[in-house]
Amino acid sequence: MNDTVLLSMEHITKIYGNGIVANEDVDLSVRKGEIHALMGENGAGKSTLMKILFGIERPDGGEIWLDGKKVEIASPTVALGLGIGMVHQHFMLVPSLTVAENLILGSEPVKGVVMDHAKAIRSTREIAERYNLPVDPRAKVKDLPVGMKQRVEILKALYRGAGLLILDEPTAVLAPQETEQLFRQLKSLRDQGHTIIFISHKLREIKEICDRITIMRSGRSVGVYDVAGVTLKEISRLMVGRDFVDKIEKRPPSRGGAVLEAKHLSYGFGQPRLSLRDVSFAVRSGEILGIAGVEGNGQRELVELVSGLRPIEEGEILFRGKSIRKESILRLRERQMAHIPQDRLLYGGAAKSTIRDNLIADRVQKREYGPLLRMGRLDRLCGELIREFGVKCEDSRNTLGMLSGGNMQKVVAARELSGDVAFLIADQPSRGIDVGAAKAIHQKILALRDRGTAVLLVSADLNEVMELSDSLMVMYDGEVVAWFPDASKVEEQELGSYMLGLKKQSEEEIRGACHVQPATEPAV
Amino acid sequence: MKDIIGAIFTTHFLFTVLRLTTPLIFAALSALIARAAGIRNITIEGTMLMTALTGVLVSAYTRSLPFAVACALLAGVLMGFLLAYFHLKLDTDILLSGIAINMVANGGTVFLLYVFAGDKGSSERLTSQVLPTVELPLIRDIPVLGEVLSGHNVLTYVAFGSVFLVWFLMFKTPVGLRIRAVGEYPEAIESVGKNATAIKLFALALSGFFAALGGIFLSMGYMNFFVKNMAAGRGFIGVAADYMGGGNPFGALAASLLFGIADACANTMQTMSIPAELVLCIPYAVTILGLVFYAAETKRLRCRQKKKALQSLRAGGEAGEP
Amino acid sequence: MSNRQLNLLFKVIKTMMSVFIALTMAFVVILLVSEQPWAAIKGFIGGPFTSLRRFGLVLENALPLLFTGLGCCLIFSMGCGQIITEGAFYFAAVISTMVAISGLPLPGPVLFAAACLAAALAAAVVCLVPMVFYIRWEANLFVVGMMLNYILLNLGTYLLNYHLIDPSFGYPASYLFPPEMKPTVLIRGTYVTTAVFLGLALVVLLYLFFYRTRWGYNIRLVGSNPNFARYSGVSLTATYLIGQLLCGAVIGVGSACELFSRYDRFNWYALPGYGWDGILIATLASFRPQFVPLAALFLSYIRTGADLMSRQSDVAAELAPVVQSFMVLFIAANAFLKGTQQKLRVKQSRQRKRAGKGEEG
Repeated sequence: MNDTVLLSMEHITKIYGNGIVANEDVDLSVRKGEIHALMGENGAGKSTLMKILFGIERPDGGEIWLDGKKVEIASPTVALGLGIGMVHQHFMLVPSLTVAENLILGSEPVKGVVMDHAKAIRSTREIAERYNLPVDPRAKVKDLPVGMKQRVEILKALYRGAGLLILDEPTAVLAPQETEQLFRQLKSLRDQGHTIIFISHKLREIKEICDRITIMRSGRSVGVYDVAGVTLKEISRLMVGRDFVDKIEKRPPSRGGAVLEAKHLSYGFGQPRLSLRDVSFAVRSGEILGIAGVEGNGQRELVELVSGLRPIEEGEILFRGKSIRKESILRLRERQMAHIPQDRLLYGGAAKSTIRDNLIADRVQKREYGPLLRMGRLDRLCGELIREFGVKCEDSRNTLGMLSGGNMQKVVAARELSGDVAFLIADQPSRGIDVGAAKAIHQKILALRDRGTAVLLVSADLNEVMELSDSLMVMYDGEVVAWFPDASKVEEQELGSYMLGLKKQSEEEIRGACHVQPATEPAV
Repeated sequence: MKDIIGAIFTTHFLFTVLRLTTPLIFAALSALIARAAGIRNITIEGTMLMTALTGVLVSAYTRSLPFAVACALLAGVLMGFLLAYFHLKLDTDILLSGIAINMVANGGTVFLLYVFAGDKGSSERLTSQVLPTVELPLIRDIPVLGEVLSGHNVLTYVAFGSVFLVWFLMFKTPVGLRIRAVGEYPEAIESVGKNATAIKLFALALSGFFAALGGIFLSMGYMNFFVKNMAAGRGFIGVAADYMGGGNPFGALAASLLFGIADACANTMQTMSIPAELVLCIPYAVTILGLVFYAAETKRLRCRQKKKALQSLRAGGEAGEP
Repeated sequence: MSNRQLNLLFKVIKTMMSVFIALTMAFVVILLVSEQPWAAIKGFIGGPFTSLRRFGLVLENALPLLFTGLGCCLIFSMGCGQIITEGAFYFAAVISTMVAISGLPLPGPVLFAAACLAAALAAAVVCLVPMVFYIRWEANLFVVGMMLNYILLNLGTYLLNYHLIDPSFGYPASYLFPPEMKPTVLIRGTYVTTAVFLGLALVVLLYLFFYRTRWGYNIRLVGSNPNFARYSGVSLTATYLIGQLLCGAVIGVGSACELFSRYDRFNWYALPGYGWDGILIATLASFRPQFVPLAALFLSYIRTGADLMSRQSDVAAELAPVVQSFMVLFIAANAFLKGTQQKLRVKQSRQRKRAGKGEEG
C-alpha cells in the first residue's frame, strides 16, 4: 500500500425528491491499493454515496476526483469505463445463464456473427486463475451457492477491467466459511494492486481485513481512521449514537400476563444461513418490548412470523395462549392483533386506493361492519380517525399515494392503533417521517400500552427503541444476544456493542426474556 | 378404428400435417422471441392478418413477388414497433395493448380490403402471386418420404429452417444472449451499461418479422388470396405452443406439430362420422395439461428442498448449521 | 384546485385527447379513401341520431357490451387480466339454447328466467376453471383461458351440430326458440327488448356490490395491492374465486339476453368477440361499474355510426374497431401526457405556495 490517493469524493450532497437529505457535505478519500471500509448504521448514507460513485444517482453538489482528474459519472457505463466496478447486494446475474455467459454479457467475444463460446470460457478461466477465484465457467448461476454467485459478480467487475471495486455489504448473505474465503480473496486482490471499498456494519470483519475506515452518521462523514489505530469500542462509539436525546415522557408500566410467546423459533431452512435461530421471548400486557438491532439481523422475518404473514417452520408462537400455526390473519386480527408494518406501501397500504379505503381495510372484514357495509358507521369512523391522528388531507377520497410519507404513516397508524388492541407489533413505526408525526405516533402507542396492550416494538432507530421501550432485547445475526428488563437502565455504548456483535449475554440472562409464567388472557 | 388408422397413415395426411403446421411454427417462434425478452406478445394474431393482407395487396398492385414479400415483412416489423410504442414507450398494460392492437388489425384488414379490393370478405378479385412450391431434388424420388416431404411451399421449408435459425440466434449469438438476459433479469443488462429497452425493441421487431412469415404463408402459400380473419386463432395457438415448448425452439416445433396433427386429424375424421370438433379439442387440452404439469413439478421440487432441510435439522440438531 | 380535482381534470384531458387523436385519425383516413368524405363523416357522427330506430340500434348494440364490460370490471379490478370471458359468453349461449329448446312445459317468462339462470351457472363454472388452475398450479391465466376458449368453441360446435341442430331448417342452426319466451321488443324495428332493464338492474347491483359489500371492497383491495389485502385479513383465494364466479354469472346472463333478444335460433360458429370488447369497455370505464353504461353506449355509438356510414357511403364500417382500439390504447397508456400532468402539478403547487403559507403538501 502507498499513500497515493486514487479516489476522492469531496463535499458530496444528495437530496432526494421527497426532501430527504441522504448525503450532506460528505468527503471520502481512498488510497490506491487499500481496502477501505465505509461504515455506518442503516440510513447513514453509505448506499447513496456509492450509488453516486457508480453513476446510478447524480449528486446535487460536490466533486469526484479519480487518479487526479475530475470526473463526471453520469451512468454505470461511464463508471465501468473509468474502471469502477460494483458488486451489488442483490446480484446482477441472470440465473439461467452460465457463469461464462454472465461474465461476458454486454461485451461478448465473437467469431463472425457467432458468439465465441470457447473464448468466453477461456477468458473466464484465465481471469479466474489470475485472481485466484476459481469458478466453473459452464455451471448455471442458479445452481451455484451464494458465495459462488458473489465470486462471479466480482469476476464480472474484474473482467470489465475494474481497478476500484465497491462491495455493498458482501457478507450479509454469506455463511461464515464463505465469509472467510471472501476475505482471503479480497486480500489477494489488494495485493495485486486493486483498491476495494467495503461497506459493512460488522466491526470484526472490518478489523480483520480493512486498512482504513470512513465512518458515516446521519448523512455526514464523521471521520477517517486507520484501522490499526482504533479499538472496536471506539468505532462502535463513533458509529452508534444519538445526535440528541429526545426524551419521551411516560408512566412506569403496569405489566400483566404474557400475551404473546415465541418459543424456539428458527426460520430460513433451505437458505445458506438461518435468518432466525432459536429465538424465544414473551411480551406481557401493558409493556413495550423493544427489539434493537441493525437491520437485517432477523427482525423482518420475526415480525412476519408473529403477524402470520409467513408460515412457522420450526418452533411455536402462542398468541393469548393459543398457537398461531393454524390461524388465518383474519382470525388473528379478530383476536385483536394489530401490526404497523415497516414498509408502508408493501403491506401497510394500497397507494392506488383512497385514504378512506385504507383506513377501513381491517374493519371491513369484521362482523360489526359487514358483510353489507355499514357506510354511515364506516364514514364516521374514518372522519374520527383522520381528526384524531391529524392526517392532513384535503379529502378522504384522495388516493393514499398522494400523501406525504408522514401522513401515509399516520393513516397506517390510525387504522392499527384504534379500536381494541391486545397485541401490537410496531415495526419501524417512525421510519422516514417528520418529527411531529413520529411524536404523535409514539404518544398513541404509549396510550395503548397504558390501557394494557402488549407491544412489540422493532426499530433500528436508537432513540425510538431506547426511549419508548420498557424492556429491551437485542438481535444480532438471527439470535437474541441480550435482554434488559429495564430499558431505561441501558447504556447506549453497551447497547452498541451488543448490536454490532461484540458482546453476547449468557444463556441465563437471555432466558429472562421468556418470563416463565402461566399465560393468561389479559383484560383489554 | 382400423379405418381411422388407415386414413391417418396416408402420405397425403402427413403432407397435410406439415402444411398445417407451417404457420403455427412461425407464430410459435414469434411468441418465443418476444417471451424470451420478457414480453407476452399476443399481437401475433393481428400481425399475421396485417402482413397476409399487405403481401396480397402489394403483389396484386406491383406484380412483384419479392417486393410484396419485403413489404409484408416490413409490415410485420412495424407491427412489432407499434406494440413497442404503446407498451415500452407509453407504458400501456401489455395484455391490453395486445388486445387493442389485435382489434386494430382485425378491423383494419377488412377496412383496407374494402378500400383496395372492393370486397369485405376476401381478395379473390385481385390476382395475387403465390410463393412457389419446391420439389426436393433427391428426396422426391424416395417412395413414401418423397411424397410427404417434397412438393411443399417454399415457406414450409423456411419454417423448419427457421427453427434452427432461431435456436442459433437465441443460443449462439450475442444478440440472443442479451435477449434472454433482458427477459429474465433486465437489471443485469443495465448493470453492464446496456440499454434494456433497446434490446426489447429489437426482440419485438424480430417477433413481428417471424409472425409476418406466418402471415405471408397464409395468403400467398396456403391460399392465394386474403380472407377476412384468416389467421383464425393461429397467433394465439403460437403463444400456447411456445409455452408448451418451454421457450425452446425445438419444443415449440414439437408443440406446433401436435397442433398440426390434431388439425389434420380433425379434417380427416370429419369425413368419417367422428365428431371432428372433439378431436380439435385435444391439442388445447394437452397444452393446459402441459402447463399444469410443468407448474406442479416446479412447485413440488421447491417444497421437497425445504422439507429436506427441515428434516436434516430435526435429525441431527444443528447439522445443517456451521 | 385540490389535488383530487387536478387528477380528475387530467383524466378528462387525457380521455379527450385520446378521443381526439383517434377521431382525427379516422377523419384523415376517410378523407383519403372516400369519394364523398363529407357524407361519410356526416353519417358516422350524425347517423345514429337521425331516427329513433337508428338510435335504437345504438342501444341494441350496447347491451352485450354492457354485460361483458361489467364482467371484465370484476376481474380486472382484481388485477387478473384474462380472456376467458369470450368462451364463457359463447358457452353460456349454448347452454341457454339447450334449456330454451328442451321443450320444458314452462310459461314463457319462466323459461326465459330458467335459461338465463342456466347460462349464468354455465359461464360461472367456465370462469372458475382458469382461476382454479392458477391458484392450484400457478398456471398462466391468459394462456389457460385462451386454450379453454377454443375447447369451448369446439365443444359448443359439437353440441350444435349433433344435438341442437334442426335438420329441417335450411341453414345449420338450432331448433327455433319458443316465441313466447323471447323478451318483449321496446322500440319497433330494433331488437331493443326488456332485457335492457335487466342490464341496468345489474349495473346498479354491481355498483352496490363494489362499494357497499365486503366482497366487493375486497376485490378492489386485492387489485390495488394484494399484499396489503392479505395483511388486512383478506383471503386472496376466496376473493379471486368470488370475483371470477360473479364475472361468469354476469356474462352468462348477458349472453342469454343477447341470444334471445336478437336471434330466433342459435347458430354461432365462431367466438362472438364480446369478451374482447368487454375489456375495452371496462378500461374505458376505469373498471368502475357505474361508468360501464356510458362506455358501452359510447363504443356502440361509434360502431353504429360506422355501420350507418358504410351504408350511406363508400367507407367500410370496420373503421370503428380501429378507432376504438386506438382510443383505448391512449387512454390506458400510463405515460401518455405524463409530462403535461407533471407540469400541471408543479404549476399548481407553486401557486399554492405563493397563495398560502404553511399548508402541508
